[in-house]
Amino acid sequence: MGKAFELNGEKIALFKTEDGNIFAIENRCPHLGGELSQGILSGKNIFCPLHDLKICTKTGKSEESHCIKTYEIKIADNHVYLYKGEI
Amino acid sequence: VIKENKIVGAVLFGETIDSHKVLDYIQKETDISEIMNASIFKTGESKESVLANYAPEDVICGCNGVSKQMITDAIVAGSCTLDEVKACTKAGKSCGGCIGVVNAILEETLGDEFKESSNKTPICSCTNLSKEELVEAIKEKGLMLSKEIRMVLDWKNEDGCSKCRPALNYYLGMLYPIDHVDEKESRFVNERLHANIQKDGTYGVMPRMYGGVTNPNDLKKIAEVAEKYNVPLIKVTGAQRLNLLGVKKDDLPKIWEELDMPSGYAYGKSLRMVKTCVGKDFCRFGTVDSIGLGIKLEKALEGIQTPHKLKMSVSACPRNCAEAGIKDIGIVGLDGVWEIYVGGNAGVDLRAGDLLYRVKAEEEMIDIIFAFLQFYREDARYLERTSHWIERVGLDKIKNVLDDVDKRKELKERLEIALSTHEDPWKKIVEDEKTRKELFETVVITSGGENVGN
Repeated sequence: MGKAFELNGEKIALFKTEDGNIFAIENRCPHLGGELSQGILSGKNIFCPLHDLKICTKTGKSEESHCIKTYEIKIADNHVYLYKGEI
Repeated sequence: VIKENKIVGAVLFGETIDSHKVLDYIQKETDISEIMNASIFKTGESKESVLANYAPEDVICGCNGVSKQMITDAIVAGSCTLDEVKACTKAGKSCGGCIGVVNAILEETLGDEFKESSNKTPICSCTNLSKEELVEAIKEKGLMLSKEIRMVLDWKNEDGCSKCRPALNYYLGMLYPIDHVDEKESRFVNERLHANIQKDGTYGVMPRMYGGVTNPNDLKKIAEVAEKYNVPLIKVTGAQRLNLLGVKKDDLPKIWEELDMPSGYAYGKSLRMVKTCVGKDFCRFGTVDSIGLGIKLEKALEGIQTPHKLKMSVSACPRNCAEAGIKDIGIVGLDGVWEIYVGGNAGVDLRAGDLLYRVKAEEEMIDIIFAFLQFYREDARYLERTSHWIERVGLDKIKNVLDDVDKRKELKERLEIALSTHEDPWKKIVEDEKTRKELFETVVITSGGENVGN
């Protein structure tokens, strides 16, 4: 499942996949703005809660070739570090 | 509505396969004077000839703007089932009203090949298994977890998708009502957060009002909560209760705590409500206590998980003010006899309910409702309303099962086991700090730091 964060007003969705990877994307569906952290996570893909658009949490890409912002994640000492610059 | 020989508007009931033709006449402002006096839409046309009236560029799916040509192209390119066409073109993916026409196009394009494949519909594109094969395999191999099912039954995509995940969770809960631990990560947002998501990411809160009956105390609490949390809209719903719309996710548990009312399950694949008419205590025509029976049924059945949402009603005379003919289960109490209607639906596919039984004793009527409900839970496919289920399997199959008194008893017992596990979800979350934090809290960080938690 995803978790919603707001970092200095920027809305970010954080996901931990079943195989233990952590990904962060903009918490806003490119279709109509759905809160992606509330979608159903299947592997690396998140399905938007509003109209079921499928978006990859790693690349930020949907099947419709929309793309949303992704954030770089580093894990150290049991902490998750998120870098706000675009990859 | 016809103005100067042009159709300017239309409302269709029942068989709505002509809706796209009507829309086409409206959009193209077609002069219908020549066809008006005969019959605009020849009834009894076969699906093929109905399709012949669609030009390739005509829009079939009004929600997503998909033309007949786009659907045909997708089929020719390899989409052989309704689900594949939906995935490829988006036709039928929103309201579903055009699915009949999409199926007709599939049938026209593929012929017998489609008829054969439509008898066996895979539950989603991750597997070739139908619901019936899947449930058989789960039982045979003793599978207990969704993940296990996906691995053992060779899912093409072992992570599943937004279709099969909630479906597997439902089937496991239905098969193992006591042992299955609900997989909240496989739940659609509404059922995970126990509220209805709205277009702007806020939620709707609908507390229980058993039988559509309220009292000053509940109304005061609702009013106070609505004021305190600046609820932007309070709507009286079609299910005889109040919907508090525009609530922020973070406020949901606080509102439930202050309301101190049970969840109305308005977001669930579950019993929504038992709608009732006024009944014999006040109405001059009422022959039974419809409110009393409605409250009793709603209390007995609340929280039950079903393949799709389930709406019930009780009317106290043939005037049927509670609209029992368009509910999944509708009861009409007459002087000395109960009529039980099933499979009614007032939604996308309008359908009048079928009269299942007329019985004299209230106890027998309740036994039949419980048995019918359990048979629906076991036999229907996930996301299949009673109306579609009855259309698919036929009323006779259901009657054959329910006519058997032993089977009726067994079904009722299995339903009672499932009901015994129910806990009010709002109360449970209010008392569980960890879930409140995990599901409802948005972590807000305003400093310059980049550490967002661990």
